Amino acid sequence: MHPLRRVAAILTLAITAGLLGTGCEENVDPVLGIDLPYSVYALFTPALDTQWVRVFPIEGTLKVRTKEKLDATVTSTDVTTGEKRVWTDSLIEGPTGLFEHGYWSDFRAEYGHRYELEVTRSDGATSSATTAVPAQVIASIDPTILAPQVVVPYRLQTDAKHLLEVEVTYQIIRSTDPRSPTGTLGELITLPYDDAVQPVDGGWMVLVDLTTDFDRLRSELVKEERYDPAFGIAIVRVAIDLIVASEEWAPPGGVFDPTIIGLPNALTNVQNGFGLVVSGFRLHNEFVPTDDESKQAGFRPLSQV
Amino acid sequence: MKFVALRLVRCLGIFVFCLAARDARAQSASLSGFATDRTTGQPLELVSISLRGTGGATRTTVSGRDGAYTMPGLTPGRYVLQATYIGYAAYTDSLELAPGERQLQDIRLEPTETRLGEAVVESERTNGAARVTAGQQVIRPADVELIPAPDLSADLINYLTTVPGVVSTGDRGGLLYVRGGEPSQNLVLLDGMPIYQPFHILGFYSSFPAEIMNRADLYAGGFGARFGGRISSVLDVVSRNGNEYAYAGTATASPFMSSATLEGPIVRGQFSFLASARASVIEQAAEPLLHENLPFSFGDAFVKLQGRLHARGRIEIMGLNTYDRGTVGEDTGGQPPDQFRWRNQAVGVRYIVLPKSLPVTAVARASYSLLRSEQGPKDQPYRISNVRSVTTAIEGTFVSRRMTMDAGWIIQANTLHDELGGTFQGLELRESDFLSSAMYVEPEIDLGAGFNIRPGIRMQFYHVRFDPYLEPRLRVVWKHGVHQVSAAAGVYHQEIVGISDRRDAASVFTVWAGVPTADEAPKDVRSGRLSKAVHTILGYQVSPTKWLDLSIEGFHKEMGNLFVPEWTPFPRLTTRVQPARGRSSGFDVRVEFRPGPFYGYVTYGYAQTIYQAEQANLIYWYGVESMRYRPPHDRRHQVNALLTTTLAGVDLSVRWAFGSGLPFSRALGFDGFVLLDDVMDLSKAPTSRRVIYERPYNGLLPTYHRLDLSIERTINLRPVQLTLQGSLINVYDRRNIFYLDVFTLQRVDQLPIIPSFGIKLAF
Repeated sequence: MHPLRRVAAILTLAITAGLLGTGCEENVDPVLGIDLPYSVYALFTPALDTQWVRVFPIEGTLKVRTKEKLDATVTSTDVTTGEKRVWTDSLIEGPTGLFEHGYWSDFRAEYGHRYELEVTRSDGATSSATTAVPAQVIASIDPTILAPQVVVPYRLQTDAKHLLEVEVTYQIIRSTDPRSPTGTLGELITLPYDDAVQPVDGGWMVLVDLTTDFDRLRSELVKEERYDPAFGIAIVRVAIDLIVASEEWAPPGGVFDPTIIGLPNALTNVQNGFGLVVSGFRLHNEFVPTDDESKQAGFRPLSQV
Repeated sequence: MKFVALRLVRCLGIFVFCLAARDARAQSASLSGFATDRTTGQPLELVSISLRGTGGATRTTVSGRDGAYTMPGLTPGRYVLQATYIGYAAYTDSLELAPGERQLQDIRLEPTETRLGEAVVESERTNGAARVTAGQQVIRPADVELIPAPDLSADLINYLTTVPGVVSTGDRGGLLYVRGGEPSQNLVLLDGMPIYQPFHILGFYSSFPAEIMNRADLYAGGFGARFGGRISSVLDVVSRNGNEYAYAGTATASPFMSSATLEGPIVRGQFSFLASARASVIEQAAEPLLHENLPFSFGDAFVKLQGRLHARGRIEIMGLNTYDRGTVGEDTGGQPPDQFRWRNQAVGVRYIVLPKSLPVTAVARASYSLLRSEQGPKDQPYRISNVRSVTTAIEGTFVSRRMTMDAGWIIQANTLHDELGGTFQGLELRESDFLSSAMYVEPEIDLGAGFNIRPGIRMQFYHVRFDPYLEPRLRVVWKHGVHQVSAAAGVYHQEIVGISDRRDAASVFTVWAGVPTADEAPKDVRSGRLSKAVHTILGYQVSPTKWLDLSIEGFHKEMGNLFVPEWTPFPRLTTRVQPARGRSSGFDVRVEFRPGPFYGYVTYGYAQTIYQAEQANLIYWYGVESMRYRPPHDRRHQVNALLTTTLAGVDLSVRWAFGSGLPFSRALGFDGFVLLDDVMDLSKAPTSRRVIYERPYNGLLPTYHRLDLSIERTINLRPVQLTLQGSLINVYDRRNIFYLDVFTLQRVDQLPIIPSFGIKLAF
């Protein structure tokens, strides 16, 4: 046979065999499987007298879950005291009628204690995580800085590694009629304040910049055509709200963006599984600036309202 | 940029003025007219028209798309006019041209008994599976009718799916991907009217039955300056005219579709009409055959009126209406499947004139196109996307001795209306009105020695700014004996993009929107980063014998500013988009043969399409800032084979199609997600189901292959012709996968073996 013909014949055979080989396969397996038992979400907080854990088995289908019992045992250990607890399963009806599993235990998490959580399948496969509840916080307000800006230093003595969702809420009056439509005095405007948090010895400092905030509030009101320059803005009180969070409760960029933290690997501290086990509590404090502080920052003194 | 555009416009004006002035100065004569079929009045394209003077000098030209021809700059005197065309008797006449005369001479050719397929002069063939010239393939109704289909209503889409480089989603869904491009990047025109969703929900049917077609040009890339606004391909369908001299009609019936056409003169020899209507009966009739519920309802109607307004002018008025309704998935978890509905409506008018004062074939056209598409329950669709466009254009073909030049000015106003419920809320929609205009100039120069070159430039003005997007185009053909080498290149932009969730192959819902921008404030379209593509094509074609054509063609498309759906781990549809760029390259090999009573072809297409997407959360997902991946339409290998013959008066046709597996995203598993963003009672926290994905599109679906055959017999029962057809689609009952829902693991297969039969009556 001519060499070229031989090559052509071999090629034809190879292509035909390839086509037949690949062409016979009809089935497809869209799920590769992953050898991890559970995704676990838990929050240990002294703020509640019952703690909850949400447990999702990592499975091969997105099946609609019924009321069947989940093959999982949830236990926790207070590493600080050695106390162990077995949590109780309960069914929670999720979105679109799906049933999900929440495990609960009626205790209040202790400040400064470390907890270990384990979710174990009957075959021994376990997903686990630990979290340390931040110690109780001592909050205080340092003397106000008056120049060049009017800044109120809000000091937190704490071992917490993160402060989350830091917000400053101004209760303000912006007109001669100080009652809001709901009858409360003035109105509330909340400003995000995560960027004004800085670490200091023994904890954190939130610098409440009244001068800058006056501009922010005025811009907000001007934009909504609710600013009366003849009256200005008077402060009734200033509230600071934040979450004192455990070390592992640290979303990328400090923002809870579901498109990012919804990714399985983006924010997890669960060993042999996915999910997030954290601890923390909310802190709330208020103060009222003096008339001088208000005036210097650009506000109308409250006494002149 | 502005000056370049101005200069080009000025050059065009000067060129036209010079043509007119030269003729006037020289007192030369010109000849023009329309070439038509004497028995039907059908315009004939590519009729070879020659004028031989008494001195023996000969001038030759060919008729254009509307049958129009122009021969300017003729020396006054006596001439012999001869016109020849495949399948028609030669036409000869003598005429005398006076100085300065602009004579009109229509050519009406008498068809001979010889059938077109048997009398093809090889050098004059323009269509055929292996006849591809720099990405352009001409498709005639006869080509379409050869493809086995479940009924006798031959449809253009069945041919398109045999073309290498054209990837379809299967036998339902109605989406075509051409050489790496996405469906919304294809420009589909019917007589110049844009049709936004032209393919029916069942993959055997489109808005273009062969009965209404005169021709279709598929430009898989590298298209010329006449076309714009899309970055992948052009399907330019030209409808035929109704018979000007006699009434004719057809009616077909099958378990899939019923259709009827009627045509005839309104004013004999002057005005005619063509009407076609098709309606699916598959919901009622095919279920007993397939033992499967086929919840599809679709149909189309087309009407064309045309005629001669005066000796130098013809008018065409067209209207198209299509509708589709159906579900392409299955029930999921007790929820009813999503229903998709869409409707195309288009009306258009074309006026073709041979002005007495200029050696030009001019076309003025206007059209109105509307697409209404919905997803969800009939009375409460949760997604609506409508596109309205009004297009007006003035186009001309200028003729001189050594070259012709196409030029045109097009204005298009688009209005987009989207109501997007559910998970579409993240989609950023720009303003809903888009006004654009374009000017193009594209000379065709015969350089001699077989070289023909078509350099073109298109100036695309978006938002009627005077800083156009300049889109250079080039098409080159070199013919030498049986060999032909062709090449094409071009730059393309697209302002209006179609966004679908390609994670879900069954989603045929497309949102039409302006390119997303980070900032809505600037109205300057340049800040919107239009989708862009650069095409290059190089092809070789040879006809070593009278019965064999071979061609090979390579292509490369570089695509930028694409918008692809972002990946999310949540099991729901999304049209949130992320920027991407892509490239597609590959080659086609085609062999077409006509030995004796057989006709057939084998085509092989190789394509490699890679996208590179950037998404903010990729770094948290896969540890990279941008990701290269194979998009879900990246079919690497395609084989199509067709064999037809006629035995004892019975037409047999067999087609086999093969496609390698398409990429899809595999899951590692499924779990749930709780957004832990506050100190809260977790028993009340909202949760979502979640897919733990492997890297996107890392899996491959099984290969696709299918064998179809049909048998047809036509019986002449004067005065009617009866055609009977039997067909088998998917002869060996291959379980070809259409759709795999990785959320529910539900698999939807394409149609199983389909026995069908059809009947057609024609008079």
